Amino acid sequence: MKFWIILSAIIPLLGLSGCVAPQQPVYYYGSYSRTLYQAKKNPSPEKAAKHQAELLSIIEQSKQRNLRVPPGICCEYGWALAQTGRVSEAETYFAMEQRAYPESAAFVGFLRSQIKKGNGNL
Amino acid sequence: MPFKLIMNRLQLLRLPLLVAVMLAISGCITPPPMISKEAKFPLFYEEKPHVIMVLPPTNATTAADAKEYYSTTVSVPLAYSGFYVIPMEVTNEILKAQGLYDTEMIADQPLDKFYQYFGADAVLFTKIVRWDTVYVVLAANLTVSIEAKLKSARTNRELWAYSGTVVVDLTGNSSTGNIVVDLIAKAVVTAVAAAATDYVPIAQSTNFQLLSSMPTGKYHFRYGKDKGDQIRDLSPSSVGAASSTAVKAPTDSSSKKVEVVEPKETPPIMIASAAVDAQSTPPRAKSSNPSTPEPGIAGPKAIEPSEIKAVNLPEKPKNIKIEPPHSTGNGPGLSVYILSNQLWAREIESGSAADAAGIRAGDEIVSFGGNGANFETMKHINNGKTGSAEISWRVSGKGEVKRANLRF
Repeated sequence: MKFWIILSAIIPLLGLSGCVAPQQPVYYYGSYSRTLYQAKKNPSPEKAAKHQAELLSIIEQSKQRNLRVPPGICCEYGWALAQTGRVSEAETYFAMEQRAYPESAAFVGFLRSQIKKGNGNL
Repeated sequence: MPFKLIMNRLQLLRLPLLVAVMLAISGCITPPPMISKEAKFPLFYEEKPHVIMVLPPTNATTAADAKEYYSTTVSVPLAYSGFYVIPMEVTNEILKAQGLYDTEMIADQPLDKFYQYFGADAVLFTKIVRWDTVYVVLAANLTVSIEAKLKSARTNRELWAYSGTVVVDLTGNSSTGNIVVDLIAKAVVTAVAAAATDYVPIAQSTNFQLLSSMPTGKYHFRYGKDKGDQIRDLSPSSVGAASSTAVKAPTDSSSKKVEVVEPKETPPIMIASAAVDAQSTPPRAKSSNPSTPEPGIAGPKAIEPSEIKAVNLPEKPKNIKIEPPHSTGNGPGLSVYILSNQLWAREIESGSAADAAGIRAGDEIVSFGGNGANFETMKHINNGKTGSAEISWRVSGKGEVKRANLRF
């Protein structure tokens, strides 16, 4: 009798754990490829600023839509900030990247060490 | 009398002859054999890379922009396949600071440094073999050929490889039913499209297609479950290998088609001058895919050398929006991509028919207009034409399949 009670308690739990399986990734990318292309095609401070604004917009829009920020976006934004000397702000985004993607720890750590060495201001 | 006898004999022969001819025809258009992902890329499943680093592509073409178009659009499909993609913009700058300007400088080196410093499990190398825009009066095509390989940063082994060609028809394809009107409209659209094509969405969908044979990564729900998925057996060395796949630039208003042809010789990038007297000769390459018979847009047209001048890919002029003739806009308002022979909703335009039906990004599109999930269906959905179609989709994360009639 006790066995059945325990079993009936476990079965719904198994069912729940099935729901947390990763799903088809859904991302908000905005115009990422377009602003990046434009910034690379004819590099200028304006184009770079436009791409950075797009990165920030992707981060904010993803939050609004309750989506995971696409991989690398927070990192790219943080790196851009660090290059203009906004190191403490950069750290906020590096931490964000690492929280969302634990596997980014090595790369984010490398970026931190570069910034500390002064290589962030290339 | 002997004549009649011969005729009778021939009559008897007719059926087998017909069968033989049919077999011969079907033999000509047989696509490359199918193979499971696991059989094709066993090392990928053995190493299970999560973190992918993308190196700048090697550009073997004369198209100066090809590199930028490719590299700014490659991370998105990799992310949708479920991988963590190290931001290429950042790694590029770091590599340059280290004096590594060229991917060729890295190609033969052991890759363990990328694992050690960046945590990269695997490194994607790409060579752009061909990036041609060929423009003649009634057709404009973009042909992209690449050779790509994913190498393990831990063991230096090759985990995945692809070589293939995608041809994008840059012109609209709507028809009025009036041949003369169609021809004039098409010529006008082609002239505008060739001058003002926005290649970013085209490069994007090309990358989606090129990477679709890659096994999925850990953020994809089919991670580890796609071993049995059948893909075309394409490998960089197999001559004439061509994907039977087809993609269409998503979220773009103009109606573009993509189909795949067998890789042929690699001519330099060329764009024929827009002279109206430019003549087209029969297509140099034909569609290798029996399911995508597209008469008239079978491939880049051969053009007389005197009519060709090499130019850079055209930049998009400002304030010009290209609409295919007789089309009102963005179709069902749904852009899909293909992965492991399944169609997935990528973006839904708000206020569109797809949005109203309740389709959300991440849902699996099961059928559209009576057709199942395949490349033709993807083209159809992304095509941006008016019409109506029944769509069925599986809600993301649930088994539930919904159905709706879309009018767009």
